[in-house]
Amino acid sequence: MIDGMLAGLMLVLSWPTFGYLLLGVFIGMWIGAVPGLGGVVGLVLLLPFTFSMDPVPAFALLMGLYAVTSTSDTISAILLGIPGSVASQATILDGYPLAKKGHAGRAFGAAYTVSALGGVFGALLMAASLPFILPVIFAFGIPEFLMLGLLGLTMVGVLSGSAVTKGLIVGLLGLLLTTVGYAEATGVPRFNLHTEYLLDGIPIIPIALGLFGIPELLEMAVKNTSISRVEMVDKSRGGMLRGIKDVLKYRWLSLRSAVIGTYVGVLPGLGGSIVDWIAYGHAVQSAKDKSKFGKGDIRGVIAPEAANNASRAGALIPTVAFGIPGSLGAAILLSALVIKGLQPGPDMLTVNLGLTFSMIWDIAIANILAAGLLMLLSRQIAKIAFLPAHSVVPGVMVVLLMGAWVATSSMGDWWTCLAMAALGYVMKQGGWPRSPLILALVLGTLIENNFQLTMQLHSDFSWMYQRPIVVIIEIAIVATIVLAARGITRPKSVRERKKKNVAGPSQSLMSFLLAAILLAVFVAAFLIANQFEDAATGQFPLAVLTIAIPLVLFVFITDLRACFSGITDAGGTAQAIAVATQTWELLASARFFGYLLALLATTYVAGQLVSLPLFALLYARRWGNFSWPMSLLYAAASLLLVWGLYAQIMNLHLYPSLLFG
Amino acid sequence: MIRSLFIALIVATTLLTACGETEDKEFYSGKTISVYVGRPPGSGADLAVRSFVRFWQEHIPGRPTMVVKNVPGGAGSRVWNLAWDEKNPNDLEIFFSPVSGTAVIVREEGLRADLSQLPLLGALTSPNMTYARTERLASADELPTVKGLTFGGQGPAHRFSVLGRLTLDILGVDYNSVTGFSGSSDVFNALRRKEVDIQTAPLNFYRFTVEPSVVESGEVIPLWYNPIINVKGEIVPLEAAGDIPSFIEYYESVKGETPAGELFEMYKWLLPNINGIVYAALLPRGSTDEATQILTESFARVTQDEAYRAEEERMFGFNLPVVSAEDGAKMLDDMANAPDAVRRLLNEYIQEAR
Repeated sequence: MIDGMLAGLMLVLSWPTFGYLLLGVFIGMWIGAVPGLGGVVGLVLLLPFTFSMDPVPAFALLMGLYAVTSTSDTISAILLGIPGSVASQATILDGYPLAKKGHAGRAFGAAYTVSALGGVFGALLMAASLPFILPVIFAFGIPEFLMLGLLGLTMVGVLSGSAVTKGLIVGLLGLLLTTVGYAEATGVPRFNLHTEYLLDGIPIIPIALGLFGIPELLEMAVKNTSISRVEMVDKSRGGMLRGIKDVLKYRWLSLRSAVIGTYVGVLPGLGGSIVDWIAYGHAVQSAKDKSKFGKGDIRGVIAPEAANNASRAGALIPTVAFGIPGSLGAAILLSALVIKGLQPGPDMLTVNLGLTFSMIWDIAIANILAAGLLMLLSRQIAKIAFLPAHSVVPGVMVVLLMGAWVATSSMGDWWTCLAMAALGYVMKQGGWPRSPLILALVLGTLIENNFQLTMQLHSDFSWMYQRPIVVIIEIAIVATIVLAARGITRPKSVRERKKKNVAGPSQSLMSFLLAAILLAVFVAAFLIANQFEDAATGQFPLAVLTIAIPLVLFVFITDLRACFSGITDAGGTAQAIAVATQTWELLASARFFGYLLALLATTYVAGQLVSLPLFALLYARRWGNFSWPMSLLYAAASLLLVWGLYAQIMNLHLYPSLLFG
Repeated sequence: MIRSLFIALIVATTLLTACGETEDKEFYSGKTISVYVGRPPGSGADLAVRSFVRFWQEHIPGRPTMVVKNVPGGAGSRVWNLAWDEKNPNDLEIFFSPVSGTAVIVREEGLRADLSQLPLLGALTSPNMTYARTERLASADELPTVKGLTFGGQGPAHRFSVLGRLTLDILGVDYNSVTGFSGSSDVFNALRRKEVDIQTAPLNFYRFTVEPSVVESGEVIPLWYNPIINVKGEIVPLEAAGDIPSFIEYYESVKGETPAGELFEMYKWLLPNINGIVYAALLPRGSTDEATQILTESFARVTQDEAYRAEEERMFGFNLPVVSAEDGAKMLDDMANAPDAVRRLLNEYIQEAR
């Protein structure tokens, strides 16, 4: 084993292998930083170049890229509140509030340090786990996956803050959204409104980008504030150092999160998509003082970042050693292995042990390199948080929309993004938590599929008490719910009660409007789901809606009463609406959405190569009051980005417009 | 002087004529062809198409640049709808993606395109086979006598689920069908966890994943492969299958008779269709005959290219059987115009698994 490790290290450090590793790291850092792209896209782009290479340098290039995309995707998560990829969704919960408070440097310092630590620790842990990892993987059957999904869902309570009922409803909405499209169990389409786009379900990236990214950009545009709402707090390198010290202070949390990341990453089908949520949940549940989570607690950055980098190593070993890919990225690496004429399996742990260890070293070294390089750049990157809004918004919007376009390259991605942006705006104004929706989207399909398979495989419910791992997870679920319930029912301090009452009439009105819309959507969905012919097609959506409808009805009535009370306090309906319109900055927000709708309409007519630069030009000139030369320069840069990166390098299929085909 | 000018004029005219002829012959010189694949980046189909395209561009006169564009959606039907809706074909767009035979036959929601109306450039198929865990099955011959086995498959309409269940039903095996797994890897993981006993999967998956990990150790045994039958009704020889019998051979060896009955008739009808064509390369309607001919010929040349065949063998473990444009067009036509009785029976059969 030691010989294999040393041989692997020598292979990685030899030339030109190390050069390819560096190249992979550079490309991976860049791809990870662009929202919507990620490790899978990068691997697909690089794979053809490796066909004629020897295996060791080829895997150095691929692993270098794949290992670090989950490090650099932190940039947009922390600075913009936009998840750069699926792996960084939980990071935004505390990373973005930290940036808003002027602590972007601290968040970066912590994120990069812990990413390197997680990547290296995960790789070493996986290497040490080789002899016993296979029984662990196979101990998790379909019922265990179902229960893990349900355990993940209990995180909704953690993510809902003080609005637990609303958080539950949002989570149930997320579960309902996962039932759109073909049901895996029966192959029958559901809720697709007879559209082709919805047959495969709604892709998660346009939802996440719309729900989180656009409402933040809207707020920046309307208020013309920088990302950071305060002056730069972390001057010089102090912020970065503070972040590094945070990691040392919370070293046990970092290690526990890395362990979670490694072993959850091993499980096929779970992998990178939920590992950051599980680690985040662990950070909250294990903390004595939970009050700062969601408002800029550094532990909320440390836990998911340690876990998502560690999961890359976790997914690698079962792929290489047992031919079991834990994720799509791992499946591509498996293909690369096969193309090189190598067979995954016992040979990779005997004859080719040096190569297997070289891949582990690739991950470890790539993580250290990426963390070092990003730290060098972080001070400059963190300054973006202090740029004026109008210089940031159009550029980020172009990148965000093209990131959403990567999902399926259809206008449906943009409509989804826009619809979710509107929902995100309403949720933000109405005090509804947004994170449970993403968590439920990640877990919904997993839960439904494994439920249907469990019911087909087991004729009764004995699996619920006969399988030890299922029982352990059930205990964890009950404990999580009890702890969450204690948190909810605990007598509130005077300060907390005061804070809760801050929700004025405008928030109640927006909340009421959203509750009314959701009630209508849920009832309509219930009526449709009742019409499904096969039981397995309708079971899951009906179960979700049976819980969701009473809950939303409760919120609807509560908000209605709050609205009446608010109207009385404001001195009449007209006054209340006037206050609400002002609070919501309705006209400016409508204008922003108007820009986006015009952008979509222009795309139908003239395509993205016209609509996106035109949007940047008009926004910069009319909203941002930039000079014409500056606005034209901005538009030209946008055109270059869309044409160069997305159309030429990534070969994305752009919309065939009416004018240009 | 006049003589020199005359000679120069002749030389210039000859050169210009030659260039003109070259330009005519090499329509694709300096052009970019977009190849659309209806699966996401990184999927098996995407990687297979990307690999083919790298060689294809070398075989097209003029050596155009070919770029692969992913247009997933509509359960794989969006790419065909895009081809169908193309109003202004320019001979620079090829649609190369997996064809779901069952979707074509049962006219699944979402697929608007009539694939039989689009010019076919060529197609590839990918054989599949069935294997079982040995815990309750000492030898392959015992299968018809063992009770309570579990078959695991993808969606009920997926060809592996349909072919897997059909063969077990034709044999009269007592089994429980569990469908709804996300892919072959998912079913295989369940098989390794002893949650399912029998699986039908692509032959390359068997060669690369199943064989080294569980066949060599004796945990799993191969049962049969589902043969590829060409349009003439002949079984295409499949060297890659090695000693594994075709389903018909397996049936005859364990039952001592030739299979028969309604389900076998459906199986026979499905084999040349849903099993006969897996990856198809099509052009939009209205594409020029010249382009169709150039691309069809070059597609065929790729499949004979030793370098491509070597890479294909590395990727799949064998060379994918090639379907000519002519045979493929007939298969697509047969699927699109399947007899009502077949369509109804297949629909009912899929419905049983829901």
